[in-house]
Amino acid sequence: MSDQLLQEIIEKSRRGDEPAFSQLVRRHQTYVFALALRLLCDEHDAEEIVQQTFIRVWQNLQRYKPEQKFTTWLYRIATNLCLDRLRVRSRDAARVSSLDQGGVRGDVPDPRGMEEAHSNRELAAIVYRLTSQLPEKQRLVFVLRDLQELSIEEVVAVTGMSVGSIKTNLCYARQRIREILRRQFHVSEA
Amino acid sequence: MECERYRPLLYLYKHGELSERAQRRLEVHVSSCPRCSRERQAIETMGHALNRLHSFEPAPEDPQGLTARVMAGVRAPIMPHAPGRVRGIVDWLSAVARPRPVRLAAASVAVLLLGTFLYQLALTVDQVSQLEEKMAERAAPAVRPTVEYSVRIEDARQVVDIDWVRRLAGILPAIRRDGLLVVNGVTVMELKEYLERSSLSRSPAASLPGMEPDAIDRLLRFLQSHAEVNISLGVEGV
Repeated sequence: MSDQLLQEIIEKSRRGDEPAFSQLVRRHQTYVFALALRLLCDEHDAEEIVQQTFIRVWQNLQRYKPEQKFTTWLYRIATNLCLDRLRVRSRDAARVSSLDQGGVRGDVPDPRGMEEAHSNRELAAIVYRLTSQLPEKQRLVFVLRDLQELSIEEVVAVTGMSVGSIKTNLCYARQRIREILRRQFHVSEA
Repeated sequence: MECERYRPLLYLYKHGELSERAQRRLEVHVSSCPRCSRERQAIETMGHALNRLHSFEPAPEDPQGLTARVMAGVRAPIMPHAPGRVRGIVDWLSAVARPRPVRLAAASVAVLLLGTFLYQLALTVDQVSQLEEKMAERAAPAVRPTVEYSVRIEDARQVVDIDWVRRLAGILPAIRRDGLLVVNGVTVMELKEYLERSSLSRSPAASLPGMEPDAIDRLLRFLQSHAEVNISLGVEGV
């Protein structure tokens, strides 16, 4: 989708054109889903985040500034919703416990090695094992930068963090993930 | 010592996240340090392992169904689709409501606090409404000049009844400067014309019925501490 076409669709959506907005959703929902799945490691939650994100986009399209990249704005909304969800989870000790015991949502087996994922659930289980023990900021920058492959500038725009803070958190996150890969996934560094 | 300084930078090296200067210095160090060279290789191996995660691109299982659910939510947002913060509160309340003694106790306290808050809120709104009605009743049939005085503090609104208004009018000369009402250093509106017509303006403050010096002081302090003051004046029949 060209930038011009995207802006036209956004403009139509701003005026309340539901078919145009539906087109916008179809075009970007996979993006949001992938981000949410990698952050939340749960398919069901990721789909809910997709819904919440686009409802919020629909309600706030008037505030969107065309000079800003749409996907960055979208990512920012989705990321904030994911962080809210993670905070709710961290308050719910029972749920965290069930995740720890049985993997994601309790019914996904623990990945034994760093094999390629073939499904959302397998990927979620691997990412969960890798990132669930990271502090929030480290988890966020690792997912955005290393798994979603956003540029540092995009991570700045999405998270509102400084470049220095992002690099510091990336550094710590990668160190810890290296340890996890070695100890839990038995990745040999030789 | 040198190695400790450079080691964290190795995690940013492969991704091109270092400044040119830092990268050059790191390369110089790594080329002469076998330990850091091995470390760099190990970090690269980690990168290769993580690359496997990119071989699968996650996607919703039923994209059309998901779009349809999004659009249904857009047309009629309901609680499960509420924003994260709201959802968070809902989740928290659900967690609290689980039948465990501590949580039940916490829920009871929360309900009690919420009830008290709502009661106070209703009371305040009710009081304000009563004051407004009272003011309207007294102001409507009056032949004398009418003055309405309201102070807006964020979303709260306090309405002072007509007796307070008379007291305010009585003390206006004290806070009047060149015919302008000055509150907290901000000129609110010109009152000169009104004060010249109003019999109240000629009354010495102390002679107004029912006025107490403490009340005047309180009112003055109140006015001086709130810049956002709206005073509307009118003379009936003019």
